[in-house]
Amino acid sequence: MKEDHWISDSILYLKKIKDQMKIYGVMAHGLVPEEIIIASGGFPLRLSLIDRQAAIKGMEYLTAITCSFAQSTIGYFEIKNELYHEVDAIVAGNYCNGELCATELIAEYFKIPRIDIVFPSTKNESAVKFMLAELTHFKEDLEQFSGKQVTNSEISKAIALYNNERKLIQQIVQLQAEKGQLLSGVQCLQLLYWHFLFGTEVSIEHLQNTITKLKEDLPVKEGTKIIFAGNGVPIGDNTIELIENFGFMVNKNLTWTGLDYYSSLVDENTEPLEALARYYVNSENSGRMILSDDYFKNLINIYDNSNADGIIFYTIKNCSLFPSVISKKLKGTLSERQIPFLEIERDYGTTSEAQLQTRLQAFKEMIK
Amino acid sequence: MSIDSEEFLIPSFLNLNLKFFSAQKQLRKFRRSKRMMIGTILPIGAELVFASGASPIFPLRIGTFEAEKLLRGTRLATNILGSSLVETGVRMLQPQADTIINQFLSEYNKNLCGFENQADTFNYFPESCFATRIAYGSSVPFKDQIALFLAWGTRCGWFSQFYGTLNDSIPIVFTDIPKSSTPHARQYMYEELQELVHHLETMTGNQVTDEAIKEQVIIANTIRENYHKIFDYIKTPDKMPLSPYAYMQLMALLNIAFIDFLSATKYFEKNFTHLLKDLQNRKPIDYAGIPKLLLAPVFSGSEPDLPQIINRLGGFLIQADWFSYGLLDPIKTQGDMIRNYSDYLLKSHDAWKDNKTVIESWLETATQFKVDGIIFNKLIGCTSITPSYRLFKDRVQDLGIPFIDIDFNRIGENLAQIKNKLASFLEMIKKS
Repeated sequence: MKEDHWISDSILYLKKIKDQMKIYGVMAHGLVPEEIIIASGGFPLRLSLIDRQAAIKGMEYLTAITCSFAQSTIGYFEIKNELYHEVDAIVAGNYCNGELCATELIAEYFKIPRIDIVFPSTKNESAVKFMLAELTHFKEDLEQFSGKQVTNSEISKAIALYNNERKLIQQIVQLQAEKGQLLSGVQCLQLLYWHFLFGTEVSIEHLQNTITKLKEDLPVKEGTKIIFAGNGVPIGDNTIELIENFGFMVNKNLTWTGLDYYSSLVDENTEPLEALARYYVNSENSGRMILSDDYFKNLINIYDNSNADGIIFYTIKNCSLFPSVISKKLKGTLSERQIPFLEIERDYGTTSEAQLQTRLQAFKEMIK
Repeated sequence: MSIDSEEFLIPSFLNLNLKFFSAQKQLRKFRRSKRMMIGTILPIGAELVFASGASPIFPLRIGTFEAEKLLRGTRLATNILGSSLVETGVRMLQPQADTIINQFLSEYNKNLCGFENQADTFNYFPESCFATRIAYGSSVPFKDQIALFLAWGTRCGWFSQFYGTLNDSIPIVFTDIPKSSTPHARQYMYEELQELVHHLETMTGNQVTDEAIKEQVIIANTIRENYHKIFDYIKTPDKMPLSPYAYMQLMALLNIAFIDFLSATKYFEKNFTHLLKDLQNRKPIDYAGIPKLLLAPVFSGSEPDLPQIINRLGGFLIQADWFSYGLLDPIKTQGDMIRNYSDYLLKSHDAWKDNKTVIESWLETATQFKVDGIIFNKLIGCTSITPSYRLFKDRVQDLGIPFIDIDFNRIGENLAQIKNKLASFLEMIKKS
C-alpha cells in the first residue's frame, strides 16, 4: 500500500524535524486550529491511522462500544507505533465522545502531556466569543509548552499558509469541475493524507505538482459518480477504494477527509484569533450540536449542482457524531426527493468487505 | 427483608410516592388550567421553568399505574384513621404494603419496558444508550401535551442526538454547558442561560424576574438540603431510620423525583421536609452486617430490579449520582440569579467533565459513605462514561475497594447472570 511508504517517510520526516520543533498529536477531525500550532513553531500531526490490530489493543483501554478510530488511536500508543511515538503532547478536544475518552486515556496511561481545547456546541455570537477566549487559552498553553511566545503576526502568517493550501485544494476541485473527473476519490483522499502526515508546507508542494499535472491532458475517469458524506476516512480504511473498485467514482467527498470540506477560507482581514474562532465554529457539525435542516438542504444543493448519480453516506459503528440520527433524517429527505442513496455502516474499515460488496452491487443496479 | 407496613404508611412517604405515580393526572390538571408543560430529562433548569409559570415534567414518570388506586385508598384510610391506627389496629385496612409496592415496581418496570418498546417502534436508534432510548419512547407519545423540551449541551453526544431527534416531534430549546470552568466559560454559560430564560418568557408570555427565580431556588435548595440529609444518614449506619429496602426505594424515588421536582415543587418540598422530620423521630435501625454498595453511574439508566436483588442478597444499594456531581449543593440566592444558576450548572458539569474527574467524584462519595464495595454500571451504548471503566477499575484496585461491573442494556436482560455475579460479590464482601 502506498500509505505504508508515506508513513515510513513521515516517521523519518518527524525524526528530522523533532530537534527543532514540538510535535503535537491532533485528532483527525480537522477542528483543531492547527494554524496556532504552526505559529508556535510546532508541528501538528493528525492522528489519522487505523487498523484492526491497533483497535484490538485499544479495546483494552476503551470499551467495545467505542468507535474503532478512538480504539486504534490508543492502540497505536500501546503498541509503540513509531509515528505516534514522536508525539510530544496531545491536543484534547471535546469534538466527540471518542476523542474525549481516547485523549484522556493516552495522557493518563502513556504519560503524554495533554493540552485541552473546548469547542462550544452552538454557533451563536456567544459561542464565537467563547471560542475566541478558548483559542487565546490554547495559544498560551502552547507558549508555555514550547517556551516560545506566539505573536499575532505569526498567527496571521500561519493563516495565510493554510489559506494558501485551501486555495490550492479549491483549485483542484474547480479544475475537476471544468475538465471532468481527473482524480479518483482515492487519489483525492491521498492528497489530504499528505497534509495529515507531512504538514502544510509539504502538502502545498504536492498540491502544486498535482495541479500542474491536472492542467495537462489527463484522461477523464469513468464511473458512476457519487457524493460521499458522513464520517471521514482515515489512513488504513479502504472504504472509498472498495466503492471505486465497484465502478463508482467519488465525485465529491464532503467529509473532513475530502477536498470539498475545505471550500472556505479563514478571513485574513480580521484579527487572527477572532478569524480562526469564526472559521472553526462555523466549520463544525459535530454530534454535540443540534444539526439544523441547513445541513440536509446543503447536501441536496450540492447534489443538485453536481453531476453525481447518487449519495453514499458513511457511518461508523459506535460513532457518536454521525449515528443513525442523521442518516434517518437524511433518508427521509433524500427519499422525498428520490435521490439514490446508500448508507454504509462499517467499523472504520476493520470489518468484513463481503457485506459491503453486496450492498454496493445492489446500489449500482438501482442507479442503473 | 421487606418494607414494613408501618414504614410504608409514613404519610409524607406515602404522599411522595403517590405524587410520583400520578403524572398522568398532573398532565390532565395542567391542561385544564392551561399551564404549560416543559419536558426535561436532567435535574437542571426546573426552577427556571417554574419561575416562568410553567411546570417541568420528566416523561418517565408518565405511566399507567393501577396500583395508584390502592395507594390512594391507603392514603384515604390513613387520613381518616391515622397511620398508627391503620398500622396497629384496623388490620382489615392494612394495605399489604409489600403487595402494593411490588405491584408499583412491576408496573413501573412494565412502563419502562413499554417506553423501550415505544422507542423501537419509533425506530429510535437501538445502539444508543438506555437513558436516551427510554427518554425518547416516553416523550414522543406526549408530544401534544409537552410544549417545549429543555435540551442541554453536555459532554455527551448521545444526549445531543436525542434532543436533535426529539426536535422533530417536540420543539427544544438548546442551552450549551461548556466543558470548562474558565472565566470565559462562565460568561458563555451566563449568556446561554439568558437566552433560555428569554425563550421561556416568549413561550409562556410571562416575565421571568430575578425574584421569581430566587423564590424557586429557595424551595429547590430546601429539597437539595433534605436530599443531602437522606445521604447523611448513610454515614451513620447504626442510626438508619428505615429498613434497607425502604431506604433503597426512597433513594430510587428521589433519584427520579429530583429531575422535575414531581412537577409540584412546593408539594415536593413540603412533604420531603415532613418526611425528614418523620425519619428523625423514628427508632434507629442498625445496619451492622449489611454491606453498603455504591452503584455508579446511575443517571444513564440502570436495571430497575437492582435494589430488590441487592436487598434479597442482604446488601444495601446506594444510588448517589446527583450527590456525586454536586447537584445537591445549594445555589446562591444573593445577587444576579441567572449568574448564580449558571455557576451552579458549570460546577456540576465540571464534576463529570472528563472520566478522570467523574471517577474521583464517585470515589469521594464512596469514601464519605464508607462503602464496602462498588458496582460499576457498565451501560452498553454509553460512549461517554462507560469508557471510564478501565480508569475506574485501576483506581479502585489501587485503593483496595471491592469492585464489580455489571452490563446493562435493556431491562431484564441477563438478569440471572447479574444476580449470580452480585451474589458472589456480596458473599466475598461478607467473608472479608
